[in-house]
Amino acid sequence: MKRGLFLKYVILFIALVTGVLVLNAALDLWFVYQDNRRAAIDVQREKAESAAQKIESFVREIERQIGWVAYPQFDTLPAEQRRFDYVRLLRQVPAITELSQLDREGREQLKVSRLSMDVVGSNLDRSAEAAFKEAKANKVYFGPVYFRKESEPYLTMAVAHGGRGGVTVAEVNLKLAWDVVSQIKVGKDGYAYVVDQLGRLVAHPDISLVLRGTDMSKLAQVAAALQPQGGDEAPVDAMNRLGVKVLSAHAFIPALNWLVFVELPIAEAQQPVIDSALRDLALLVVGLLIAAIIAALLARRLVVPIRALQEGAQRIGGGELSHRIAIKTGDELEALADQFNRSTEALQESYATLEQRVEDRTAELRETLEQQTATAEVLQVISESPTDVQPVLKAVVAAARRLCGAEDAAIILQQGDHVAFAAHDGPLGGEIGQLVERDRTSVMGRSITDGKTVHLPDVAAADPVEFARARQLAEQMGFNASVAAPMLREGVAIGCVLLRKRAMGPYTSRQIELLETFAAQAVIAIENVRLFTELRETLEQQTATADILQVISSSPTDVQPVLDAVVKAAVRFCGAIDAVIVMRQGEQWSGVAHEGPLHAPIGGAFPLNRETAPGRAMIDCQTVHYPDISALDPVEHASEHRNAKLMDFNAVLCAPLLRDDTAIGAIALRRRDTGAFMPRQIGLLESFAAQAVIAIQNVRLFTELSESLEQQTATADILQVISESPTDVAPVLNAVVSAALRFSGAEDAVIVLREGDETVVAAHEGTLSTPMGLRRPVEGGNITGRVIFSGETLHIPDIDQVDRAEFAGSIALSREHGWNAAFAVPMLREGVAVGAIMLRKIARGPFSPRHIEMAETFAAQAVIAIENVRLFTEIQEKSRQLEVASQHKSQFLANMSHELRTPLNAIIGYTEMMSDGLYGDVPDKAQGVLERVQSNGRHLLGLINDVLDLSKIEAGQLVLAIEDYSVGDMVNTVMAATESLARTKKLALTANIASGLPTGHGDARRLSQVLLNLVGNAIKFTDQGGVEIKAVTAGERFEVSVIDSGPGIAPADQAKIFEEFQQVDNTSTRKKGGTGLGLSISRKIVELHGGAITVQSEVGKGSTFTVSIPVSAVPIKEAAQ
Amino acid sequence: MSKKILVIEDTEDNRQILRDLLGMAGYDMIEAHDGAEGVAQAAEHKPDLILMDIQMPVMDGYEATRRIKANPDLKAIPVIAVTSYALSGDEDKARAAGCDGYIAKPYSPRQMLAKVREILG
Repeated sequence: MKRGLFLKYVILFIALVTGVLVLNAALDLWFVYQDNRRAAIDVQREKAESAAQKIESFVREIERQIGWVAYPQFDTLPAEQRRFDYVRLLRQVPAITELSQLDREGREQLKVSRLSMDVVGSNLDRSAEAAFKEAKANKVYFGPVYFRKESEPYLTMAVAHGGRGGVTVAEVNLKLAWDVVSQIKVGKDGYAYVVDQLGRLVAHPDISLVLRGTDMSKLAQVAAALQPQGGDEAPVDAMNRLGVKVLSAHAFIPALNWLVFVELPIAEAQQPVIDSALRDLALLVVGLLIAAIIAALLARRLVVPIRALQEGAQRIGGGELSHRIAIKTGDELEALADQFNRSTEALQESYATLEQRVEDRTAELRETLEQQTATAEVLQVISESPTDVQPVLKAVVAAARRLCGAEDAAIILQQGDHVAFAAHDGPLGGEIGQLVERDRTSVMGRSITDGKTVHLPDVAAADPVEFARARQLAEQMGFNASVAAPMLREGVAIGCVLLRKRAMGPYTSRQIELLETFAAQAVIAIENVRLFTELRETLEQQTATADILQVISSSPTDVQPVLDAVVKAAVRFCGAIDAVIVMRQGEQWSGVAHEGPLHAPIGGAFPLNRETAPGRAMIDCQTVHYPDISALDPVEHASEHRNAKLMDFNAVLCAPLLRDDTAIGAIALRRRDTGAFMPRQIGLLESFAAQAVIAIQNVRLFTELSESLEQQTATADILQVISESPTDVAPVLNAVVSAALRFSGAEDAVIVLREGDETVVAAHEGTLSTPMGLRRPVEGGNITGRVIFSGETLHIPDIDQVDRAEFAGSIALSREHGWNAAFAVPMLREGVAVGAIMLRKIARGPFSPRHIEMAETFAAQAVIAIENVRLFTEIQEKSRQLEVASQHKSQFLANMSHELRTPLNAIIGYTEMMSDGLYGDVPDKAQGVLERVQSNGRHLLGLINDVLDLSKIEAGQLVLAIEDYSVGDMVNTVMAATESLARTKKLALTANIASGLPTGHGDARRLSQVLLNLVGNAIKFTDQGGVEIKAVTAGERFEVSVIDSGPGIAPADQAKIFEEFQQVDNTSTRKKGGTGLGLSISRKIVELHGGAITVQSEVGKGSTFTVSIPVSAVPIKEAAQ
Repeated sequence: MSKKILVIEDTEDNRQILRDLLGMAGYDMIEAHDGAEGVAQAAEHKPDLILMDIQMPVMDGYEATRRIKANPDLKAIPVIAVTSYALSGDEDKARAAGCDGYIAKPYSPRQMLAKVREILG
């Protein structure tokens, strides 16, 4: 507030004064501006009007002067008279420079000029001039301004003489008008100018602008003034040619239609306004100074007492409560000071009582703090002792005794129907751990039973029945007041905290509340320890499980480490001293893993029965639990009794190892002392059992997998060899014997192949001797011969055990080659053996079924290889044959082309030469024939070319030439081409074309070729009867049929005839000639049109070939073959 | 003296056509029935033009053309192949053998005559 208020007032005041002054000055300026502007415009307009009037009267004067000679009879005056009159006129009117008299036809009769010689009767035709025409029409004519000698403005003026008179034309010097304009002065820089009706400058102080004929109509004010009715709307504020802002006024000269403009630059026009503004500004500055002085004086009067108030308040606020503020201004400020003084007095009084209240409150706080500290201490102990509850309970009783005003504190926990002291602090009795019956008539008993706090301020005064035990104890131990808070877990009391004191009297509600908090804390501590223990146990079990899983995963091929780990873990976590895993083998079982001090049934075999725990567990597939063996039936459990005595154990828990609901073994836990295993331990043992099963399964699967992988690798290797050797079977057979030998455990492997009645050794690997290529007849007396005959596998585990008569050959060979066991599998192709694989070994004994199975697989592969080679060879041969056939075909085409062209050359050549008259004149009729021969010859050539196109068709390269065609014309052309052939064979060739067939759209030449082929064939193969061509529409398709009465085609041949080089039978081909390509080409062409060609025929009843094509064909692009 | 044209052609009909055509046009025509005879006739008569069939017994037209073109005395005589080998590539084969022109059978006598006149002037 030091400067704040003062400054604020001063600024406010100055602002107010300034505002008023500024508003006043602005309004003043606005009015001055408007007045000034109006005055300036008025002056300019006046000047413009005056100038306009001067020019108008100047022109009108001249017009009047000319009027003296412009009378109708003037033309009839003698020339000398007329000249005299004109000269006189020139003298009277200095502005006129030249006068011409035109007669009524516009011919110049007289010209009098100041500048040239007078001319009389020149008869010059000036009737076309505007001056003449306008004057005749309007009596008077004013022409446009023009310049003579490029310095002086002139105007042509013409006055008609009236009646049948002519016209007087005067050239008027406008210098006067210019002088008028130049003399106009407005202010310092104002000026005037004149424009004509087109906006061209007529007069201007700067004559050069006029001489250049400057066009002013672009200026807004001129343009507006030139508008027919726009004279009054011409802007007052405008721009001049140089872009300076001006005030513009104008006036109209009616006689000439000219405009006089007077313009004054705005800067000059507004000079008075600027002067006025400067005056106002000076006034504003003076006003501000005065306002500042007055404001300072006023603010000072207001601020001094306020400062006194502020100072006083500061002293009182600083604790000087006796200070009083003295202000005598007699206004609201004095009243405020008095009010302040009164408040200070009240404050002084209340301050005195406050100190006592603070003391009380501090004591309260201290107590609360102590309690909270105690609570925090207990929590601290809880957090430090997660596994042991005793330190917590001790801390609780100590804190309870200290803070709840008791001599003695204790925690009592419930144990079944009894209670016992768990912690105690104080002089009164209470032995830790001693079980006492829970009694509802005691304070602690009632609290635990009811789950409620029980408070007896005076035990002796309590109900003798309800609190009998409490009274008894109080008397015994010498306390008089007691309170107990229950320790509640999920709403059920598990004990209580008990307080006792000798002095009679109630515990405060705060103390009871604190006791309840302690009870809750004790519960939390007990819960914590319980959870912690449970957690640790669970963790240990999981660790054990994980350890076993770890062993399982690191030992995929060997189960023993897993079983060892399982028995170790079982002993450790299931509360036993000894664990053993037994495995079932048929109707016996024996131990496989053991941990512990007791004797274990490792190695030996025991019968599977219900007399022992493992046997019973495996038979029932259920866990067996004997907490006390001596309590079991001595007969039913005879073996268990005997074992227990022998090995010195008394309790057994045994879980079966179950795989697919079948027990494959069991795990047994044993203990020296009797007693039940806990459910947790039983569950854990069962999970160990499951893990052992998993391990056993794993090892089994792993072994199976690795064996199968080895076999598959061998098989794949052989397939690889097969694929690499498509033409040669030997490498495959070698690979097969090699693989068979590797997997069978034999010394020797042989493949023999059957060739007729002999077998030949095709592959061999091993230590026993067998020459490659050895041939031997196929006979039942040796192993391979028997296998090839029977097509079945033969297995001889021991050569000495076989029938000597039946296997004489084999026995002899075994002696010769030194083997004692063998088996052979047949190599079967479509159920017939093409050979056999034989494996031999020196040691006696069976081969495993798996090995035999593998050999069978190998045999199948060997057969595949042999088949492959055979097929490969066949395919090669086939493709070679195909290639040859294709070459034949090409050669055939080339030959046919040649053979057909040679005779055709003679036909076409002679015909043309005859037709050309080379052999003399030809009669007209013969000429027609020659032309038909020629056209048929060419057609035939076209057909030959088409046949050559077969290769193109075959390659899918044929492109249809689509055009419009008429089926009727096509049929007629084909008829003409074939009728001579039909006539030769005495066949009737007829056509039956439906009327009104639509115009077709397709490759007409190709379709004709098809039809020609069909008709040609029909004629060719028909010996009597006739051939009919029939054309109809069926929907959007043409159906053209060729029906013959020939021999017909058997159904089996009907499809074949459309294939290349196929005719019904070779004899007929030879007899009838032809290439055998026609129908094939025809079919392709029709198919390219999106159509089909079909045949209906029966042997002996003729044939009907029908071509069905869309009326409008869309060519189908045939895929390349 | 009228120009001499050697026609080597095994088909009588085709020789007859040329005989008629060329005779009436005022040319002298010498004939040969196969390639070998054609080569001998060419050496003997030194014709102004040879019309050579291709497919012929004894010696085909390609071989005959090669021999004629290999002979420095005969090399300059224009040889036109007149052949019914009209498949694509046949013309190239004829030109490769040394033929100066190629007319496919069946030809138009008018066009044949035009071609002959074009060469012989």
